[in-house]
Amino acid sequence: MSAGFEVINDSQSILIDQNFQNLALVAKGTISIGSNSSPGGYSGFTTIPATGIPLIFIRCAGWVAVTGATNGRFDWRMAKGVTTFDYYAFAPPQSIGGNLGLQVFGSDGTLCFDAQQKYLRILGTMATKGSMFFPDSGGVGTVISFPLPGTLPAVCFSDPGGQFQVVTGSIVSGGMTYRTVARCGMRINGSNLELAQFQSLDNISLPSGANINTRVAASPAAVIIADVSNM
Amino acid sequence: MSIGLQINDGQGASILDTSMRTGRILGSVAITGDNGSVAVPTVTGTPFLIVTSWPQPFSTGQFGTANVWGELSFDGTTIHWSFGFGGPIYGSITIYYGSY
Repeated sequence: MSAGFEVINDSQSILIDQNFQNLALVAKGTISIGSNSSPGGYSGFTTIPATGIPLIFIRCAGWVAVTGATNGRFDWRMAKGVTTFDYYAFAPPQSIGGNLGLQVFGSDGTLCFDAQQKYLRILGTMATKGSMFFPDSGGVGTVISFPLPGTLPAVCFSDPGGQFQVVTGSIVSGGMTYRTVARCGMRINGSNLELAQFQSLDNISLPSGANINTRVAASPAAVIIADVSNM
Repeated sequence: MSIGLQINDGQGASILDTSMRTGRILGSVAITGDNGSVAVPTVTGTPFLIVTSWPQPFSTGQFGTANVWGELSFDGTTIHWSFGFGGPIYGSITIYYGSY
């Protein structure tokens, strides 16, 4: 760097500079619904300030999946019976005006850091890649567990994971097809992160003449863990 | 923290200091081909990848839809990917990379 502003943290990573935007807390909240009794659970979306691609961290006691995130919104699904979760959306900082504290701008005027906002504090990343099992009967699949650091950690998947079934049988056109009936979700149980596939379609039964030949499901490759205390 | 930068809010609560690790998105790559890899500018710090959304599910006709997904890895200089299912026929993905 020949000119500008750069802060290196104790881990020798760049904490702040004028080349890239820091990830600020642009929205947080609790999503609650009245009831959730359908076998496939309940899905929805939440709008957030559109400052760039967000990283969505969640805390939840029941099975929840963030199924997608784009600039200004994220999509989610709660498993049957789950009615609430907390979210923390981190994205490039908003221009909120004022001139209090440190502000760092890029050469094109982009706001990279503004001390009037709160920032993502990463506790670490954890590899979670692996095969998962979702039963043909539906519900929630086999749970896999990982220890979480910190006192108030929230978790963001590196990717949504995946699931499909290969369906074969005499009534199946072409003899074989595929379908997705579950989502990889997470919950925080004590000091552990738990992952499992949960049913995302209300009716997963197959008619006579069609049967599940192969079952495939995968967890996200990794998760990012953030400290959301005092956020 | 005894040395380094410390930034507090108006109430004196810490916003950021040099003992913390904050994440930043450094770039993105759009993947439209089959399994492969792409080199990116070397990342300082601990690298991470994010795929915020897989492509839209594709119709499988009789029994609804199926979701595309892929497998990813990143060593700080090269992003590797392979489509676990459905791709690249049914859509591209955007991989965001960053560090903390």
